[in-house]
Amino acid sequence: MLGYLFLGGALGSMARYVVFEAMQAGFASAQAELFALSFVNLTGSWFLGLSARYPGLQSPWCRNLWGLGFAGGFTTMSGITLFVDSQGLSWPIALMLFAGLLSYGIGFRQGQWFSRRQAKT
Amino acid sequence: MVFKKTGQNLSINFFTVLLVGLAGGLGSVARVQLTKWGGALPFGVILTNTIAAALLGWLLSLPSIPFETFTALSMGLAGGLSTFSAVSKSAFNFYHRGRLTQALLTLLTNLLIPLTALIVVARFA
Repeated sequence: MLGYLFLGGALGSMARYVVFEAMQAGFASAQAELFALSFVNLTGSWFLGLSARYPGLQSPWCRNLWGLGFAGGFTTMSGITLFVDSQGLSWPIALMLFAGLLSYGIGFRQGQWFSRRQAKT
Repeated sequence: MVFKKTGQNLSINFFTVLLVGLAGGLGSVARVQLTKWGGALPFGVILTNTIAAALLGWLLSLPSIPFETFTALSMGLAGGLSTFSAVSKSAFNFYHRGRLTQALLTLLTNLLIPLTALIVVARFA
């Protein structure tokens, strides 16, 4: 199972790096970092919530690969601390923390919906 | 494989992406082992985020470091070790059970404790 964790974490980290580089190519430095942080953290939280209940992702290896590995590796808290250290604590960062909770909740409910739909059929 | 970006003269080197992936995989395995520590707050998640921030602080304090090494350790190891999604999950689970104070503390401690670690290590390392 550690192999799946490693693979998921590696894929998530590589995807995050590519997202950061792509954002930096399109926007000014601080703005790009904020957009990239928001994108990876909100989509990663949503995906972790979805993977917690989505019927096709409930096997142990899937949870390790996609939930713990990929979603965990794709999102970053160290990037937020570095951003706050350099730019100061701002309302978009505070908003991101609460939006992450909301994103996870939306993904979780969507996963539950798919699970119920599959149980009915 | 190198993607050249003409606007800011940045490039994504395939070797650097692989290094980030390797370090990120190692960081993720370490993260999952450490985040098993729970309790009134997700202490394991706070610990991993704090270690990752301290690592970043240490990297920032170094006078010179090769670009690939810095990217692999900051984007890969520290990025893979730290997690935002587990913070969101823990906060949501507390909120879902009506424990609003613990949900708020989860969000706050996961920002403020790692930030303090980064500042302290970067300034005094």
